[in-house]
Amino acid sequence: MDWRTKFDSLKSRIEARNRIITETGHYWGIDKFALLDEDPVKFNRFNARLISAVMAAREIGKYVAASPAATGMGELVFGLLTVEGDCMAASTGLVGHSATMPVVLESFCELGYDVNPGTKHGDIWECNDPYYGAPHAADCFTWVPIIYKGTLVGWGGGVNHIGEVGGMVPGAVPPIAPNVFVEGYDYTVTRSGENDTFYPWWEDAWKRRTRAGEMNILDNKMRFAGCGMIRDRVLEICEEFGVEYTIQCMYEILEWERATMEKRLQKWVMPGKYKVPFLQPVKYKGKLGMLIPEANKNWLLHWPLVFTLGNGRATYDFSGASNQDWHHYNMYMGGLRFGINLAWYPVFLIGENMHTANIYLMDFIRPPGSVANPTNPFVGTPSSAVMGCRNGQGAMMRALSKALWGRGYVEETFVFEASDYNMYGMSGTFSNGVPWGMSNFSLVGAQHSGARAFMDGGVCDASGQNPETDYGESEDWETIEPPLLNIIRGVTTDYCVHGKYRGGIGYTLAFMVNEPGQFFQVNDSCSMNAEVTTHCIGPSGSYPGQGHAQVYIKKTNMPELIKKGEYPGSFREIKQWIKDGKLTCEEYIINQGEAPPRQLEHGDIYCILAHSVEGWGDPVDRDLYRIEEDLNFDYISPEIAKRIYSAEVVTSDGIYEIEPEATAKARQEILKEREKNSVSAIEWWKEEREKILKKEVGDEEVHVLFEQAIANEKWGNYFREFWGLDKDYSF
Amino acid sequence: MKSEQSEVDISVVASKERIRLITEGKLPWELCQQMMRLEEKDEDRFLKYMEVLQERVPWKEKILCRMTEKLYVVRKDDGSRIVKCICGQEYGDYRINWKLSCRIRVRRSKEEWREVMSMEEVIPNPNLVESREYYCPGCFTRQGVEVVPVGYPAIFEILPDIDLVYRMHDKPLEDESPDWFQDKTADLTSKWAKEV
Amino acid sequence: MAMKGKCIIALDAGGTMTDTFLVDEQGSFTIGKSLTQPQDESISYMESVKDAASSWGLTSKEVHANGVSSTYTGTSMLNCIITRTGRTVGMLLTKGFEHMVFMNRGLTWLGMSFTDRMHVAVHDHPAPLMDRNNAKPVGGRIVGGTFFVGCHLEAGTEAIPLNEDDVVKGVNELLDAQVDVIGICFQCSYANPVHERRARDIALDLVKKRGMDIPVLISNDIAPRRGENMRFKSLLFQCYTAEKTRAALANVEAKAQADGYKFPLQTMLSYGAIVNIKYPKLYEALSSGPIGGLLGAKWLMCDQLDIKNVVAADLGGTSWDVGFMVKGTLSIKSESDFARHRLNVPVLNLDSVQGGTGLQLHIDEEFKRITLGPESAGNLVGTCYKYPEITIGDCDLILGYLNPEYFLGGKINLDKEYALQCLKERMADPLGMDVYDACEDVLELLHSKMADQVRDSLLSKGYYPRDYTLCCYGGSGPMHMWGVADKVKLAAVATVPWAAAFSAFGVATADYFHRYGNTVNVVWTRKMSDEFKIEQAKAMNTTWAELEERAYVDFENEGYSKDKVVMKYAVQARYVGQLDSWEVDSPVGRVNTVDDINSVINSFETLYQAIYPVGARFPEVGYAITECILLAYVDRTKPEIRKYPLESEAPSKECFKGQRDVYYCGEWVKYNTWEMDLLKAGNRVKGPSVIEHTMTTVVIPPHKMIDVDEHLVLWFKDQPGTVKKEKKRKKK
Repeated sequence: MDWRTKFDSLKSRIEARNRIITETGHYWGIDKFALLDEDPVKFNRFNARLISAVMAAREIGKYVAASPAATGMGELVFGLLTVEGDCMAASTGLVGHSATMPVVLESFCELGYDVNPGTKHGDIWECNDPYYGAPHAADCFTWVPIIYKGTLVGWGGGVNHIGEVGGMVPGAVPPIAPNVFVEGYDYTVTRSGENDTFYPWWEDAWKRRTRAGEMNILDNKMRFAGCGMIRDRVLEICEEFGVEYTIQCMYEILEWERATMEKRLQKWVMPGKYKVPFLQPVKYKGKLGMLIPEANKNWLLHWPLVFTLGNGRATYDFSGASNQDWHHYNMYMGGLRFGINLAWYPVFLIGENMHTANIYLMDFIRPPGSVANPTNPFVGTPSSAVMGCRNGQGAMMRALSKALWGRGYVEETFVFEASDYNMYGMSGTFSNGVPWGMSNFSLVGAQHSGARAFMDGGVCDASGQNPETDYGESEDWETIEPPLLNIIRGVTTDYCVHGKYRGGIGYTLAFMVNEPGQFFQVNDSCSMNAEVTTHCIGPSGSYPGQGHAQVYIKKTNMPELIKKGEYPGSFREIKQWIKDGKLTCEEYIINQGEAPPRQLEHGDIYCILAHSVEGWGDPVDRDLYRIEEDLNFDYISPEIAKRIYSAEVVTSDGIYEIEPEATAKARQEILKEREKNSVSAIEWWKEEREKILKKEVGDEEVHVLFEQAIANEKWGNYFREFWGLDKDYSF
Repeated sequence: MKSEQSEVDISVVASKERIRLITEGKLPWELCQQMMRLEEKDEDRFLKYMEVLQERVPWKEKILCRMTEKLYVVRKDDGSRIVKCICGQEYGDYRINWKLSCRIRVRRSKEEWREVMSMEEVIPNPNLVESREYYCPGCFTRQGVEVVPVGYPAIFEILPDIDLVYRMHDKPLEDESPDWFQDKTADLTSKWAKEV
Repeated sequence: MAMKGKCIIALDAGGTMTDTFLVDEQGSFTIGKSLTQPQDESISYMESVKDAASSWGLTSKEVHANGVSSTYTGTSMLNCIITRTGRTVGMLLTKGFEHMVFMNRGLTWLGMSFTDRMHVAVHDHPAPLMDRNNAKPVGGRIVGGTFFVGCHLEAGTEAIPLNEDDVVKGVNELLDAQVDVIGICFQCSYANPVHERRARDIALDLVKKRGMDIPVLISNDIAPRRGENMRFKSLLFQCYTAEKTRAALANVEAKAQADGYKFPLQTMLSYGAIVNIKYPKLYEALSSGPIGGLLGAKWLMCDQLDIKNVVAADLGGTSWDVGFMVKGTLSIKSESDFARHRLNVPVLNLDSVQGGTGLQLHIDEEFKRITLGPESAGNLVGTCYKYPEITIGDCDLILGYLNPEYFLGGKINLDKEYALQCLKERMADPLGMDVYDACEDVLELLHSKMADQVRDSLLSKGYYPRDYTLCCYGGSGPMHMWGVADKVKLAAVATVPWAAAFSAFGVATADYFHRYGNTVNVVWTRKMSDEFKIEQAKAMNTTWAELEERAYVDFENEGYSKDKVVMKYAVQARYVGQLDSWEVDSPVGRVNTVDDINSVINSFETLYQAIYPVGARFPEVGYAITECILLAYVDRTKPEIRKYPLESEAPSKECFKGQRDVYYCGEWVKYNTWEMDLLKAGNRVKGPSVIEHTMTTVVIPPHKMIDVDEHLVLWFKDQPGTVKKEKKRKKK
């Protein structure tokens, strides 16, 4: 049996594909490349044609869009899918998002829509529902069938991240959304138009269900325009190569890519079992109150990814993950696969095909009913994609990086912060009474890389979503958020993680609220790891990435200051001016991580501190010349050079230098202190064990974390064995 | 500019010397990029890497693989495979989390955090997590750090499948056994448990 | 043959070669080449002109003495960036934005190959062109207007007044730091330059007080467009490179004039305009090289032969550059990447892909993966000459397309045997193929890449290949155009005897003009009353008026009086809310009536619908005009295109050079060889043939032929009574 078999539905066709892959280990059982061997060059040429089709779709399609994320930063992706939905070629851009296309198409087939209502040339299909495989509501997926003389050849698909999804809390990724009924405009698998034209109700729905209808319609038109271009080009290709060749060749290419990746996975990484857990706090307590009582609490979510690299396969084990619950951090498969591919492509991609064949090299253990595999269809999902990132581009990327390093490919050790986006949402009413809502994506566009095993982290040199880093232009962003007058976009002195090599220098984005009109509020989403660190492990003795914060400075004297052309130009200056009384305020609020909506008025300052990524190695081993450079670039202050690196700093005409001898002595002192302040492992073990037995583990959410994790048999045994507790111990 | 890439000769770009330099953080960035740009990586990299590492340590035991900046898995004459610090300190069987052979410093209060974190505004919440620093009992290098809730098991960062990697390089180890890829941490903790 | 009367001298200097195109009053032309000398371009300039002159039996003196114009597009700007030898720049930036100097908008991947772009770990920032400590903060803020029309502050409103103390402090620090030039780039100055201008006045005062002579430039004069990072880069390039470039060009000018040339040297800007080297915004001369050919194709095909839809394609050693003319006009894009920086400077639209005969071949044995490039042998050709790796050039050679004895007219000898051996060992054997089949298949791959690029550049912008005529040039273009002609259905395919110096030819044909643009924020929605629409349009008229003033001043500097200047008008338009605009002509110079407004809207809708499916239209939201553009022209002598009398269909005896074996469709075929320079108008050369020229080779497979028309344009056609052969495959 192969793909030529007559199937009564796509559902059964997909089942056949899956069975054959499991049996043979090859995609559709293709163990030799008939077309490739027959004529390698024709094969290569065919592939080049498909790639140029999806590239062209993106290049030209993006100009239709309205959101700066799409046009300015290229935050969109187009892909060509096989009949079963495997993406065999995707454009540049949001490359990770192509991984979710197959999941949505699988839902489409699962729902039997190919049979009833069925689909024909000119239909437009849409879905942004994580339950059906979309990363989250902000990532809208549009696709069209490619039908050549009655034969379904595949699908043209496009995804982009829209500016406003119409949730209870405005923005693209609402920071509060306990259930699907308040998280925004989720549409299930939907036919939005026929004959290349949207239904009128579909465009109207955007205007009625979101706060940026016209912008969202333009983005939708952009996605459709690109899909249409892919479809028409592939039809030409069928004409030229023949439909049989086209379909078979797409399959061979997928198997070809799968096999190539398998080879890399065998040759490049240190096989072994990697533990890369992280924590995700969620804070709802007191925010929903009696409104949604089941969600009136805080969580510390446990994401205990165990990542095993074997002989050409990777296993993701989420045993011990927290339970699904009434918050927005429940992760579906679409979100996970999206996040995985974000980190997978940069390492394992070769040639020019951006594809999803890698999924056939992966195994997943996702306990049902956990945040890693929700069974309750109503729990919130806006951060499904974000959790995918934190597991894929976060945890997995760190394991891969260490695995490449362990195998000797030191040059490939590379991490950056997948999770700490801070895309902030906002809404308000202008002075003329016009209501509006928007979100800003620019901090995602250019984050900082962490330290590598051989060098320091960078500045604006990596992006969570798009290999082609780009934070766009403030002058563009300001046009969609008029009350936010951008006064600072720069790096933050001392905001980095220290080590032999230090992580990238953090980022400050600050605004003065300027004539907000009748009402204005902002909220921070996707700013993860509040009150914890970005990951649990710091590499080789450095610390993991520091969290993320916003500072709200309310009722200030800015209106007077700016009359003289004065305002603070850096976070350090903000703090200094407040200390000196030059900048006055009634409230100075520091918030770590996601923030609920906060109303702001003219003259208030809204300041975001984002992106600090782990270092590498022991700070005591850091070369002095590196510290001097950091000082002279104002990346770190002399005080920190002393405190963290025990560097004895002197200045000669404005240039910082470090005293080698004095520093060496000071570092010896540090080592002595370490001896003094540390205990033996067994002493430590006994002490912490006591705390466990006494349940002295901290706030309520930590208790819940342990309860739920230990309830999982696998993780529970691991826990009990580590602390030498009886088999029947439960927390 | 592109044509510069074409002079790339893998035996130079990924030579033992270059591997040593990048391992020590001394390889110029342009040459690091050359290494990254290799069409196909040098397949014997692991073996070259092990040689480079072996030449950098002051002791004789054969390095089987690398665990952290300063920790290695080595084979002792008695056939055991143990974790060893570049300073000479030995940590015992690599299948037991090496962190349980370290001196440990726990940080809980914000004051303690300030000594290691330079950004006041983002110091973690002591009621959620603590910081654990793992020092080498020999040289007191900070070998590892983890930030977890009180009572969270010390994270066994990696259990390498050493037999497999050598088999992949057609240099199978004579003492191959499935037992080498087992987490044995419980052996130690159960011993400790008897003392309480 | 000798030169008749006055002549036009045009040079195009690339990374490796400097080409000269020389044409006299009657339109007779000749071409010359020399190796580019980046250290002192006046040397390669003179060499190249001598080379061209010599083919007419003249000296460079005689040519220069009769030259009505000499135009030189050089590489000095690129060199200035690469060798980091620009001026020491000081900048005043809006307080809080100083770090843009090294944050660089996060654009760490510009100019990298596709694989590298996907490989984040390899990305890095380009080497900085200025010391970050020479970026000084200045308080003050202007707002840029909003997407929510009429809901918030108008574009250009002052939100925070200029902090003049900051200006004084900053300028003094920069002068102490001994910068050569000061640039000023403030947020949203595109919408209102009042702060930048005030800061400049203060700065100039301080400079004067110190008795120094330091120029002070503002971003609004250099690139008044939205996008602070790109505007800053444009200003930085102007500050860093412009004067160095001017000096380098002045050096060439001096040499030319010393050799008898009587006029100012001219050069070309990135959007195809010719200016003389006094032009103030000389940074716009960046990357003008590859576009010369576009202009040549436009002038030859559109203006002379009246063919309105043309694809111009240049196949060089490393890249395959494709641009096109729709209804006789070239399209412009308003940002460009140069030497890994992204600038806000208008450039002619040109799609460039890996291509060319210098491309290195990569073979993945296990997966039979063949990759072309990205590395290129450049002028080292391949293993047959001085390059260590196998290249397309090697394939061309062993298949018989290239004549080892006649490469660059025999100046270089190619080692066919060695190339054959390398290709066999490194490609054919791993692929398990016959070496000649393998080589032919590689060309097949190259040809389909080229063909796709042609097809994509058209289709992706909504145009239909069958409406377009391909004009193919560049050193290797004529050798491979047959491959493209077989794969894309085009209206016609042509090349010219001077294909190898076509860019230089294009330079000779370009117009003398300046382009000015300024951002505006004009919106026309259905809800608006006509009065309100017209009211808004006034902003466009005032902008155009300002731009006209600027134009007159600049031309004054270059020695052209007001009455010599002719103006054309255009706008950047979009649907409200879109972030990208499309440039369309404004049929009227000022917009005063609703009809005027509709005429602008119509030209936008016409273009938009040509590109996108109906589903992508969105007139309901209304239209936005985001930039007013002014094109100011003065007269320039263009080359005559000479008409030759049509002669016999059969080429003359002496034109025939003999025969050689060429591998085609899996077998060896006898190809006739001809001498290009001896071909006459009216001649027909039937395939299988190779037409040889010192600098290029035209390949004509058995089923094709070439007709030489009265302008010596070579038309590539199907040969009646022949059919394209199907490839015979040997058993492996």
